[in-house]
Amino acid sequence: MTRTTAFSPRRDLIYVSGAIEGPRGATELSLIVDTGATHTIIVPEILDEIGYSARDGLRRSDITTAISREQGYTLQVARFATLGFAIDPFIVHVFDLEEASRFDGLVGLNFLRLFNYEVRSAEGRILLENLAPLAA
Amino acid sequence: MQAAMTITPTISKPLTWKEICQRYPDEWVCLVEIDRIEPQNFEFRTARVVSHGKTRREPLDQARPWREHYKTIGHYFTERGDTNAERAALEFVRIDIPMGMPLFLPLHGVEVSIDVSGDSFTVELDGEP
Repeated sequence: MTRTTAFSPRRDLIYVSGAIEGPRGATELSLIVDTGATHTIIVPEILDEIGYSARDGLRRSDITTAISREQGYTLQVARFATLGFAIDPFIVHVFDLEEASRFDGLVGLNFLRLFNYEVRSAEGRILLENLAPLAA
Repeated sequence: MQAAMTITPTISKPLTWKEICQRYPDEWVCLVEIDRIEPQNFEFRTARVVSHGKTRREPLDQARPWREHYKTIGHYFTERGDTNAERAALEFVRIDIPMGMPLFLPLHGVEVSIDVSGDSFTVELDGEP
């Protein structure tokens, strides 16, 4: 099955919509598709809001950037959906992004590599083809 | 005597994304009753605004009472409407770190220099490392 998601080719990054679900509810959010990120990242504010906290984290993760070493943690969320597909459960990295960033997280390779995908930049479309049956 | 103040949650009438951006430019908003055109795409006909604010956290806190009524709440940043695409392209730079997470730095009015000589590299913003 192939799903097509539209994005604005005029913007500097590939903005797409996603959804994340936890014990207290679900939030639809703005994400960046990032084929250079190994993991999917979500900001802590969103996870707090749907009922998770650092106590639910699987392990702490240190993230090294050019100017600092930041601490975050990995977390298994009940459900994560973007680009037309949902995965449950799904592991995300919880990491504080710049407040100036106008998005809630990054869709990284731990999500994308579950699919064949094609980014058609000029057309503003991403095609995802699932390789194996996903959880219902 | 103790004074108690009750804040009544408010909700807008159904608005298009353009109307939301005009009403709350450059703000985070929480939306409910999002009438999507296609399920996996952001575009929608109308949605109702339950909260808004300048920080990511602010509208999420304000929207909490609505969790009882809505299983899903949308959290998005509004566009300024006219020049957002061009403005966004000027505002951020992405720095990829080997074996690390990418770093997005706001670039508005900031001078960035990256020194990649030697065994490591450093980033300076406005001359400050």
